Amino acid sequence: MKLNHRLKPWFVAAALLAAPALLPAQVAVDPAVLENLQKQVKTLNEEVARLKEGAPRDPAADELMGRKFFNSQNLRIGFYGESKYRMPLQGSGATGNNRFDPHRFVLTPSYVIADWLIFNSEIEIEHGAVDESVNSGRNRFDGELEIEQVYVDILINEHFNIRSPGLDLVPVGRINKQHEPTLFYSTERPELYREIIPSTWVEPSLSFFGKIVENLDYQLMISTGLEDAIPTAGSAATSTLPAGFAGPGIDGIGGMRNGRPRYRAASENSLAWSGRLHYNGIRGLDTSASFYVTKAKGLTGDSTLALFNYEALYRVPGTGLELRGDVAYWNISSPEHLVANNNTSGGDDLGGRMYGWHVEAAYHFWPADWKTGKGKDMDLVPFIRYTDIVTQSGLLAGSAATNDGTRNKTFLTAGLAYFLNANFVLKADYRRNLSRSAASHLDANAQDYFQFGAGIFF
Amino acid sequence: MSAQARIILFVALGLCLAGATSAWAERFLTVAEAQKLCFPTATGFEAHTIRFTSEQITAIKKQSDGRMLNAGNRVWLARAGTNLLGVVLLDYVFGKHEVIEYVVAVSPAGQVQQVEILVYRESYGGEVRNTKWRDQFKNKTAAAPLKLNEDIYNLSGATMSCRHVTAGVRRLLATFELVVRPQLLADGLPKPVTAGPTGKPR
Repeated sequence: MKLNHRLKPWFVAAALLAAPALLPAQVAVDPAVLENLQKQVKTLNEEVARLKEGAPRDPAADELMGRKFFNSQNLRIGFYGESKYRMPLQGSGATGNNRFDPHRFVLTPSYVIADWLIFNSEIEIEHGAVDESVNSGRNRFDGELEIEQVYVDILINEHFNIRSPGLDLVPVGRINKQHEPTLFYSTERPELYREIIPSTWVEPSLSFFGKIVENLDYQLMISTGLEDAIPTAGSAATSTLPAGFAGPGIDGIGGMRNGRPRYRAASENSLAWSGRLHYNGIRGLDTSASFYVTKAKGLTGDSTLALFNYEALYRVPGTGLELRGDVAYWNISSPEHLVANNNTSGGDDLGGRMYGWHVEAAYHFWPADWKTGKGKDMDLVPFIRYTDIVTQSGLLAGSAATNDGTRNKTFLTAGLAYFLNANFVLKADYRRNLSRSAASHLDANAQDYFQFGAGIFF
Repeated sequence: MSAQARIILFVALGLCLAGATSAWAERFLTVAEAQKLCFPTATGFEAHTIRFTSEQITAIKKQSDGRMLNAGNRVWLARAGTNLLGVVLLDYVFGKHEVIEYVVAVSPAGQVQQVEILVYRESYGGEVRNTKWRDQFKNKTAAAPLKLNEDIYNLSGATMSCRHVTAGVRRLLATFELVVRPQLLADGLPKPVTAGPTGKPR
């Protein structure tokens, strides 16, 4: 019989304690043996106590910190948020107007259920508020209320842990995993994380994670897969919408962004498999490689979607220079089955691949001499980033790319992030679409702009 | 539900149950284990509890340029016979939200010998256990800047934990020089290591 390691000490201790009682009365017990047994029982009892209590903290040290300090092990609520003011450089109408956007306000409750059970969650309000009433087109709010993460980490050992079924970030790309506004320098998340890696990319999922060796860790996720064709009873055909189906999930305009599946209604038979290897064993370097594979249901058949991402951040030791690079490549096995290639609109067609990449250089400028008083935790970070996004490539015969800077596009983004503290940053940047046209001026995701912003994370 | 999804569900359920029965708390070391790790040749660890006066708190805060939440520290003098090998200080800092329990071993000359993480309780930021990252503290003294992204490199994704442990070590080294050395260490010990212009020991 194989005993659980927690029960084993109890069983052995009980057996040892019971042993003398089971001996015939006339059998003399060697005092040395008895003493040895008593020592073993004491050791086992101590071990059992240690297992039960998880080796308690030093009581004297606890008293020095005060009870309140350790109460932090209960519910904690963190926060991150970002607000922006955009000044488009061209365009007209709603997208051409200067505008304020209270983009994200996110509460992050976490709770240590037990030392080995850690609850994490994110509750997000986007664009200020949600207004579900219909008010003659003058609704004050047009935001979203979302649960963006909710799961319990079951910590088993440092090499293998389970992230319980829940909602979690797909482990692809740096910014999808670390999207808090103090962790990147532009006012918007890098452009690569819109059509190519649709951040915030959250899915109902189950994960496994842990350390492989020192400095190398992994995460593997099983999640709901991207969706393309969604049967919609009674819907009439339009240029983008085939009769009886919703519009395209994956297309040449929004890339993979609209393919993010419905939380509850997506087909569970189209699961996705993703994984990430993360390495930080070289001083200043933090890098990861990740993949994502799923089979999306198209209008006329399935298409395998496979993503590979590699990214790196290198802070040159002893200097303020920081370099980032990120590349993501999608292979689409059967684009002919997808909705975008089966409607009458040619503008949203897509081919056998989508990809994007960016390189960024930033410099942490705040001199040591200025790190006094209010300036002690400040940082001033100018940055410049070059981005290439390709959502229409390898198109099918009869399809043609729309070359107006709204699908395939190249951006140059430069700006300044002024950290008043590590947890609060003011930002300003300028973005220029190097493939721009009159059409891109009217597209909020492709237009040129000057933008201010503020970001908070604690 | 497809056969594939059913298999995944059962495997996941099995793993969850396996995890629940063999769960391993995120206590990596006990204080006693950490002491032995820091000073393997020590024959004894003499326990002390130091409580700060308000003047000492002011002095430590000033020297370490940070907040103080503790009213004192637990300290162990590591000895091999009568020979003092160094000091182990137990301390707590916050990671992102939860408490990290750690010890810093300091030589009689005031140089960090080792930093060991005893307990880490959060889902993110546990990389501060990384040996290479902790090794950066070795030989640092109270005169070193001990600032993230200056003389201590950051681990992306664990920034808050890195920042708070770094500030904790800075505070403990100030505590060592301002309180432990004058109160607990006998005369005749090596003088503090002085710092060069970069904060590295001369």
